[in-house]
Amino acid sequence: MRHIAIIVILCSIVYFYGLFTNNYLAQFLDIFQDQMLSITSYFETKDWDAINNSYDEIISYWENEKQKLAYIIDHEDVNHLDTLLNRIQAEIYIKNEHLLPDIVEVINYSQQIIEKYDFSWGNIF
Amino acid sequence: MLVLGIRAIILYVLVIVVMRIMGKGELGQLQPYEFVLVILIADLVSVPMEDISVPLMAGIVPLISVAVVEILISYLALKNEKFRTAVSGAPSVVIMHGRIVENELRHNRITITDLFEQLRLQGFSDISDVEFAIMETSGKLSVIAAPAKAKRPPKRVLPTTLILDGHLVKKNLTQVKLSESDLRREIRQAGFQNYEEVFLAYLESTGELYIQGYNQQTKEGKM
Repeated sequence: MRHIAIIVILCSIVYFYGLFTNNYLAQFLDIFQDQMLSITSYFETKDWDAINNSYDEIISYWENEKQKLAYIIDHEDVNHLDTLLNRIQAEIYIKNEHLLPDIVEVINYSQQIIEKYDFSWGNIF
Repeated sequence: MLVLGIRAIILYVLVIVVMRIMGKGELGQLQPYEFVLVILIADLVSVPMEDISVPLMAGIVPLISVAVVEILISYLALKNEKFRTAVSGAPSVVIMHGRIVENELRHNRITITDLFEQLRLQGFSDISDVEFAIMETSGKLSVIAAPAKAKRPPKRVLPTTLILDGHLVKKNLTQVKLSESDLRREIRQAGFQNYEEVFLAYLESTGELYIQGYNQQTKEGKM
């Protein structure tokens, strides 16, 4: 019975940890992607104040969550996203109209992270 | 650097906890699946220990997973004889009544040299001193001494292999100052026509020549 109890406890720990981290990661990055997409709506009017305010919210959300992300995903992935976000912030500051490719890169990269840590046969094998 | 130190301590403590949960007190008696586990644990822990860009959990989760598999295998091995044989193998009798069981040696891929080495480490210089030698599933050799040979005369010469698996070991022949013709004569007296028919011939420490054919015939002669 002792063996079975230990196996059940350890399996539960691994299973629920995996479930929790996958859900957290997918949820966080979904919100993050939506926020990034929302910035693009201000591009047509070129309302740089609105872009700046909206981006400040994203950065604030990112800064709060990135420490938690470091527990789950590779730190290099976190650093790469951080670098991209800083670059976008600088582009907003100088009102560079060509920052769309960088926003797309952030969205694509976060999508790659979701797929990288997703529970799938492709990732298992 | 402090981060590396703390990570190393956490992983070290965790490995100790996992090893204790697995209930393995003696690392010297590892079964094959336990041996694999020890190698795996070392590798799993080393990466997150030295690379701070890898989350600590990337080392902890696989560590717990392999521990679960190990506990499961040991539990099933405890409960089921067939499963135990499948994962750990079965002990093999490599020497029976003072004769080498050639098929078991081949089956376990043990050379005569390895067998002699193991016997010497156990304090046996001659095969005829051994009643049974059993290759355990842990890879250790258990030796049961032959009772009749308990009162053998004191050792005189270094036991030397002269024919191994049908091939003459000329270097050893020169070492024991024995001519090829003398050896050939002994072999003929033992009922063999040539070296190729002899699985093993060696000079025992008592000066007796031990000869064993492929059909497990054993002859002894005085040199």
